Amino acid sequence: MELVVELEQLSFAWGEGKPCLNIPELKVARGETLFIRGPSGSGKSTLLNLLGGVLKPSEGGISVLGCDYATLNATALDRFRADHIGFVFQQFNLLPYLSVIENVCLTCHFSPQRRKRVLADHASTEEGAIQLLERLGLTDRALYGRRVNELSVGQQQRVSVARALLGSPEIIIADEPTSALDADTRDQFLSLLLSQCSLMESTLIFVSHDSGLEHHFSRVVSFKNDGNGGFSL
Amino acid sequence: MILLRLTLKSLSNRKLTLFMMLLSISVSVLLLLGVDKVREQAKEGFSSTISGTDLIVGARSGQINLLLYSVFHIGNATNNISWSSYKAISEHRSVRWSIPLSLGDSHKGHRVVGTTTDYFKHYRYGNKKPLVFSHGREFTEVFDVVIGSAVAKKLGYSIGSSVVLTHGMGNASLVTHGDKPFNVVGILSATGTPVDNSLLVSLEAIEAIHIDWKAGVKLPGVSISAADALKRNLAPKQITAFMLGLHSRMSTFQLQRGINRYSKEPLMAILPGLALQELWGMFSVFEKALIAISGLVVFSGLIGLLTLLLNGLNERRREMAILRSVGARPLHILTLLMLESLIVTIVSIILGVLMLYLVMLLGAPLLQQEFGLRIELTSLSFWQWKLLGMIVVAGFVVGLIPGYRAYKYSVVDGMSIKL
Repeated sequence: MELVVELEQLSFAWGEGKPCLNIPELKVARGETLFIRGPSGSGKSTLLNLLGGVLKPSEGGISVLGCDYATLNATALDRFRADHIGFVFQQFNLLPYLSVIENVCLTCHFSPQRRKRVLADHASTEEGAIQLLERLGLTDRALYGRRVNELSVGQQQRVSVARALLGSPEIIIADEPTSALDADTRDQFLSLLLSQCSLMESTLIFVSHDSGLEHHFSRVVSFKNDGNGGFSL
Repeated sequence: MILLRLTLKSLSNRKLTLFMMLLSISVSVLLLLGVDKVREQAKEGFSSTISGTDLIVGARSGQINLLLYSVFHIGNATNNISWSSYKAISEHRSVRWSIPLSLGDSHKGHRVVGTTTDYFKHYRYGNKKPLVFSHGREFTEVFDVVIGSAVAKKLGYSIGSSVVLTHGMGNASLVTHGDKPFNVVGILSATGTPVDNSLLVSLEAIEAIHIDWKAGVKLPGVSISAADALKRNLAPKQITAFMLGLHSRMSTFQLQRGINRYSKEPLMAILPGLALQELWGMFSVFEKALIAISGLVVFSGLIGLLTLLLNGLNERRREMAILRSVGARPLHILTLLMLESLIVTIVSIILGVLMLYLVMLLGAPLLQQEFGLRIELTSLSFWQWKLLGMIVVAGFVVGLIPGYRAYKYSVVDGMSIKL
């Protein structure tokens, strides 16, 4: 089993304070779909920032795709994140002043590697983006040139999935992407996300407080209050 | 490239802020350049009040005093020059032309200059421009007068108007030469120099109106009519000052020395260019104050830009977090902010310069009319380009502050979108 994410004896504290997040061990295998459950304020965003290399753990190590974060400097971590991890956040994570296509292609401007991967199969990044959008059910081409704030929330969320997936990053991290969707769209959205991840052979790490979604995933872990003012996994 | 495009799109998404930023900088650019243009052209207009004249000669006093009363018609001469001295010097071999000036009378606050028709032939101002008549001709008869454009406009005179001169400077309070009215025969085109505000008559006319005067007062009981005056000997006996044009500028200093050592009466000769420079130097405090004020205007404009950039920063933390999540590094965020202030500054400068020329184009006739200030549509001087360059640098430096903050935000916030 090939591991894409390995966390060991990890703890994180803001400044000199008490650790607010403790993770004795978390291993995620390639192709896995992992559901991380936790109430709001339990350190989910902190965990995502740790996985993205934006925050540094106070103790312990993070290794993603065999790469030990402790050996990389901030710039290298930023590059690594851009190349290998796609993010989907809660609603409103698109740039309002860009068109749909421009938002989807944004990652390729910051990651030459992902750009290269798109161009291996498509004449241009825009074409790759269009194909992804179509697979995600946004088939109306008139939408592509529009600004994103003219779209419905469900459409916006599919645009951000397309952005995360473009260039086939090994890992997709989703942070409460369904919280703004109603029940019908939520299930539809989730199955689209899961199918696209498996198509691209990307590992999905999905963070949410909504345990009703658990059954879609291959594995579930949850944050627990450790009684010390922090949370552990 | 993507950063430039993001900056432009982000800016166009914040139209009101963008408009305010452009307004605050472009107006200060307009003011800075406008003040500098006025300063530059006032200086140029000032120093081109007289040109082509190599020496101005008057009774011995200070060079500023001589310049003021002979060219600017401000103040009075300490003494007169005898006609014989004038004759002797003007016939010197190195002198090409001479213009005698006899001052001391006025008309409704405007100076009267007694001279010869050589005045129209040899007087030059600006870039060696000669005087041009807009109406009429030179004076030929004793009681003919040629008036400057401002006099004609202000007093509503035209050819054929009758003009009564006043003894000394001032308005109605002083004694008039009411018995000897003058006839307007010519009006000069505007020059932007004190000539516009003067009345030119012949030296004989000055003699004629003072024929029944002695030592500055009218002789009591003596009254000689204008017709009788014409029959008298009107050859000038003394003048106030005179201008000299030389064959060769090389002889200027030699002749100046000669005049200053003139044995028959105490005279002094000045170089108008040097004297003008010295006079302008006395205004340098005002000049510096103008520059300082316009500098402060730019400073406040930049502070306005900084305020808007910093204000916008908090609202844009989400935007930065999104960019971070798609792979932008903090350095990219910094560049984004710097580009923004740089673009705003450069566009503002372009707008400011366009506004300047528009204002100059529309305002030049008004300035000329109201203040006699000639504004020409000249290109930007090297110094003005340098000023613009300094504004660009300042805009860049101003961008560093929000840029650095955004950089720090993007490091601390990471991808979490905080509001």
